Amino acid sequence: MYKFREGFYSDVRVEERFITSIRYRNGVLEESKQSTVKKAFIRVYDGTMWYYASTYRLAAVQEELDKLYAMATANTAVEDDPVVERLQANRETDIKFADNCIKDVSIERKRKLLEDVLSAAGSSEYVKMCVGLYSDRYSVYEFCSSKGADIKYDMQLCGARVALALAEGEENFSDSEGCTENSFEKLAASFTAGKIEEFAAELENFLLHAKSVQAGVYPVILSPLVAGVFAHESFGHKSEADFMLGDETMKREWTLGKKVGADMLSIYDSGAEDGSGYVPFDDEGTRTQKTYLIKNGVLAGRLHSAETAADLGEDPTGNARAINCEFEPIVRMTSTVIEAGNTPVDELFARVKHGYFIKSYKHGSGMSTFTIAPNRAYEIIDGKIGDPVKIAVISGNVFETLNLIDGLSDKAEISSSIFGGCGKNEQFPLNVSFGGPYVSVSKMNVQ
Amino acid sequence: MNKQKIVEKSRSYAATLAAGEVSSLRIKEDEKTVIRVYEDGKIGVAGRIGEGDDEALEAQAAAALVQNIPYPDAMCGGEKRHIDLVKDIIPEDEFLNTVRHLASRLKERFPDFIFSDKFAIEEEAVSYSDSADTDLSYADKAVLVGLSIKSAGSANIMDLGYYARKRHYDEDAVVEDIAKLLDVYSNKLPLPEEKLPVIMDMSFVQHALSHVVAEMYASGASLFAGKLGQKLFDECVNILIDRTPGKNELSPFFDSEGVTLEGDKFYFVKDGVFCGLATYRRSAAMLNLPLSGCGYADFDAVPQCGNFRGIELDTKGKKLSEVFSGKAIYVSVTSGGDMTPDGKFATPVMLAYLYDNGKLVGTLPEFGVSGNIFDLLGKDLIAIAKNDVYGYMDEDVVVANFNIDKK
Repeated sequence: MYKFREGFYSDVRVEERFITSIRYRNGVLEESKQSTVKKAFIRVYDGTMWYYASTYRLAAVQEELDKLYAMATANTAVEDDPVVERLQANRETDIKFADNCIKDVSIERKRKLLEDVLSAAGSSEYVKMCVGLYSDRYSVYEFCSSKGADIKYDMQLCGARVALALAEGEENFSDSEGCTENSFEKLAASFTAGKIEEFAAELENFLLHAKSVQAGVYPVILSPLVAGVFAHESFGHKSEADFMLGDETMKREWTLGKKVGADMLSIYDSGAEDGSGYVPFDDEGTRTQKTYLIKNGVLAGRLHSAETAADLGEDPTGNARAINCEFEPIVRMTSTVIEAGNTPVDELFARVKHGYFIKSYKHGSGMSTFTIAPNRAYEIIDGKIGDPVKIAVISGNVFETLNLIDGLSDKAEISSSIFGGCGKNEQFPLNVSFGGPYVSVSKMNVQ
Repeated sequence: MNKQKIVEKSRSYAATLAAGEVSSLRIKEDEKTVIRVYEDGKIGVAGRIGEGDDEALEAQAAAALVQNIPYPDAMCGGEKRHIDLVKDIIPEDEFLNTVRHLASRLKERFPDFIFSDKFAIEEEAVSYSDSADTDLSYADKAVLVGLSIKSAGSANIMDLGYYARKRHYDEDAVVEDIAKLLDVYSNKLPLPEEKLPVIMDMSFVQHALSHVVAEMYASGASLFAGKLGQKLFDECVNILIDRTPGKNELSPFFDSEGVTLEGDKFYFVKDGVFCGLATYRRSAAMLNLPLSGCGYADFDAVPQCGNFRGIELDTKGKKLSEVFSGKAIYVSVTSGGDMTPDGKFATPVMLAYLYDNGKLVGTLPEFGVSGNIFDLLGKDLIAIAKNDVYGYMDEDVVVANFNIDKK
């Protein structure tokens, strides 16, 4: 084991990551690989500064630790430091996926799963290009610290996706559809040829019938998938407490208990949800938890690392995360969800005279204004879903929009994806998930 | 059996700024070796982190041929070229003090703003060799000044950013650049009544890049389908990959397959004419197209199209203040933004400045911009130039008559 020196807080995180990647383009195999990478990330804190090292030389971790100690300044009171006091010393092994590990599924089975579904893409004569992707990841993390933490846990995801490009004359339309699960069996059950046939037919309708929109302000209904990205982009990032560091005005402005949204709105973040946001411990060894960000329209909590929790005099929430062992943990989301309301979906739509339904998205971003670039979107006319429409972006001021939510359907769905993830500063992609019910917003900018 | 070997080594020293103070130092090192073998029209790939036995790695790559992944067996033409641009920027033992000095100066000079994010020294060395006797190498080192800037008390995660990557460090020039943005930040101006031209970086053009990828174009599903060889844009529009060594920091002159470009340039659009497609060895061979140097491979992956390092709108060395006079709206921060299948681009603008004859004079309320890419680079285009508002940070901009979507 490592020799941690007195006068410092230090920890070592090691991840062994197994991945599979398979890609077909128009039925031709372009990629088929499995590989394993193991790296370590080392942290030393002296009460003033953090010193980090990332290395692939696992036999030299102690050497790297000693180099960091030499740069830092020993502090006999480091254990009393508010940051160190908040770092947990969990000792636990939580290996959840050993019995159905994705490593034990042959690459031939994984390829067959994709091959069996790809033929369905040809159900539309307008499909000009079809790319099929399979991806999986099994990670085992080991974490130990000078406070006595000794944790070992795993996480697993596998997903498949089909991207179609359709064309007819000068018109074109592209989108992708897929599934991500935490076991191969679940994926095989949910990623079916029927699903891709339906998807191809929907894209064909878009290609042939999508019309332009007049930029303006309209009522909008977000699908559970898009509602999830809205929650993530509009309020999730704002709940990451590192943006409040050193800003006394912000700390006063963001007092817990402040009204920030419609009464019906509750948003939480939780590492315990199965899927791509699942993580039992964060990357500084803190146990993850369910944290309400907004409860009934009121600011209820925020996401913390030990450092930000100490700065705000609050408790860590298990949200210090890194994309891999090349980076330090920073405050990130896990699974961010808008809680369901009590309105039947049909009723939400019935209230809209003329607006838009946003079904899928390409990407989203959020600062004071959040933006979502829709892919599949439809007009709503007299309460019914109408023609497909071409929308570049929908956007709105975060706080105004949170107050303009006027309906939530009665069931929330959480979406996972192994493809892509969340980006913050230099770290992309981090596996997260998000979700919600159908969300009705009375006014949103549509461009 | 032909083979290729690619070795990538990197080392970085990165300091984090949190609330204007240096809060951490990160030292990162990495070494990756990849061997690809080609036999009977198939490819096998194996990768290794760190040092090790190349013969064993080659054997692993040969074993991967069993995956039966078709790939053209085309090697480079035996080119030999070695570029080393590494120069000392900041000695490692002075690194933290240098960052602390900048942080302290920013805090004193701009007390109403909070600075965070990264200051880093990044060094990379990449080599490519193959059984056709090709031997290429590139080494470079750069300083990254990446600052998220927040107005104290703002409800935003960040209000604006300053990102410069250079082979030399000039603290005075960094502070001077930031002063151009922050000294007038509090001068809040109304959105001009008259329609002004918009100055914007080339990010909106990047939304069209997937449409120049050869496979997409050949499928007929590209926005530009059937238009290769046609004049689509204003004749001053040149969209190209420029890999002239030294031009872009940490940007090798060869792609992941060792492909170099004639004159280190490849044009997708030349003098307004759509003339080239993005290819790598597989798509170039399959579609009988020239190589554009867009081969990309993530570590031990089979190459695919995706390397657009060095992509630019050619400014022909013109400066903004030389080619445009008068007032305009300078877009500093956008939120998202995207393009519809028929080429309509739109984005909300989070922060914009009023630009007046070479200077930023104040900030404007939030609004949106939109326009069709054919018009923005065609009838609505005014100029393409280097933004000489900044003295240290490099930014190429487009001046065009975008639609302004007021909120």
